Amino acid sequence: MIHKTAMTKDMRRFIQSIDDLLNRPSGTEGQGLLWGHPGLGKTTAVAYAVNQYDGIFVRALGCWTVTAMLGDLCRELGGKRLCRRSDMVEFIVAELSKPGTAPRPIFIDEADYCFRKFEMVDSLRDIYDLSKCPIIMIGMEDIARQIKTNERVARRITQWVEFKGLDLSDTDLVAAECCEVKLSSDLLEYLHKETGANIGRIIIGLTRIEKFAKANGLATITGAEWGSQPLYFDQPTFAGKGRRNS
Amino acid sequence: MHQSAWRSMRILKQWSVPGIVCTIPGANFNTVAKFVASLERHAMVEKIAGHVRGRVGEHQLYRLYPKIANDPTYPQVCGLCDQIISAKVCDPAVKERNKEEERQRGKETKTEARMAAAAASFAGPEISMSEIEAAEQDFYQTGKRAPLPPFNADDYPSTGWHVVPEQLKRRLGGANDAT
Repeated sequence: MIHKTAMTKDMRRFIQSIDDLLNRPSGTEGQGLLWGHPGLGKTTAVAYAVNQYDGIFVRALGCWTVTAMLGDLCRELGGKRLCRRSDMVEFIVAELSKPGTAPRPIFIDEADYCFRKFEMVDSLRDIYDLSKCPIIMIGMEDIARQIKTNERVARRITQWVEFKGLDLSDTDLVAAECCEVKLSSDLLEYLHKETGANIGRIIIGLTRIEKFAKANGLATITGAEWGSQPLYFDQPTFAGKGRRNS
Repeated sequence: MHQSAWRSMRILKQWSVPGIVCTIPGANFNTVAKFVASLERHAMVEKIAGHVRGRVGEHQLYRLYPKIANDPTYPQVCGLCDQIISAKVCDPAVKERNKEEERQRGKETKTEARMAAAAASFAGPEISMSEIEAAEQDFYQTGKRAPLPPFNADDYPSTGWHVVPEQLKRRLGGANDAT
């Protein structure tokens, strides 16, 4: 297997949205939102983006206050938590807008907690207004619906990215980029269907298929050659129960 | 590369080596694996139980120790052994040894400094070498020690906190008078 991040549709949209936020015209709001169901590769995508853009990553907590949030941001920027909020905002802005450095995006995971207190959103707005560094909030599938109900918050978010999971063409792309043997279209369809478009499971399935193909000296593997072998290890088998029901 | 790997470890919380490699653009698997191994050697990451060896496509999961995970920059020196993290063995005895050496060095430096300070502050009566030699010759010839020079308190100025009590001065003066 080749260990690399395949540029699927979700990934491309996410990277594009960060680029758009970084190159936004002045006067445009600099907040983005990323959401999606668990297991679709959001966190991996965020880690990739943080490394690519030298971003700052913080995780929101349920007990976060504005001071706690600013303190965490200060710590991530190599400073210490200060007593006054205004001092911390000044420190963050100074660190982010150092001369000769590219703007660094700020990623906030579990951003649902930030929208509970409007003060936090205001402080974040101050930071991106003063430092020109965009802020990308990451949340669960319900976050977008919650935000859309609040006009004041929704107006500030200019990039909405939903992780929808992999479709068949994405699965094909992942197989082509990460797998060292070629998969036939019927096996790809089988893999996509069996794994429920879950990227983690697709990778495990691809690894098994690759190993099987290499062991049998196959450069291209078809569905007939693979047969009905399990693709990953935690597939539940309810044989006893199924027989009883039928 | 190490900083990127460290960032990914902090973001992903539970991770495998291939998982970390995927999140770093242009990363090398061996470099990341070596980095993880060195962190594990110095007890900065721990393995998560439940991994079954030999299962294709599944990898050993790790996590950072919570105390270290808050640090935004990757550790370069091990807190247990005081060595750089690329050191092949993490031996806490090395740290103890270093500490002891440091302590000894500090002690010696302190003692030397004290002695130098004492020598600088001490201003006793001036005795010339000829007087000392004459006293030695007397001792060899007669077998009797030369009498001590009369104590004069002004020869010992009480610099700093040390002050000779008046009673002691009187006693010393009396002894000298008796001889």
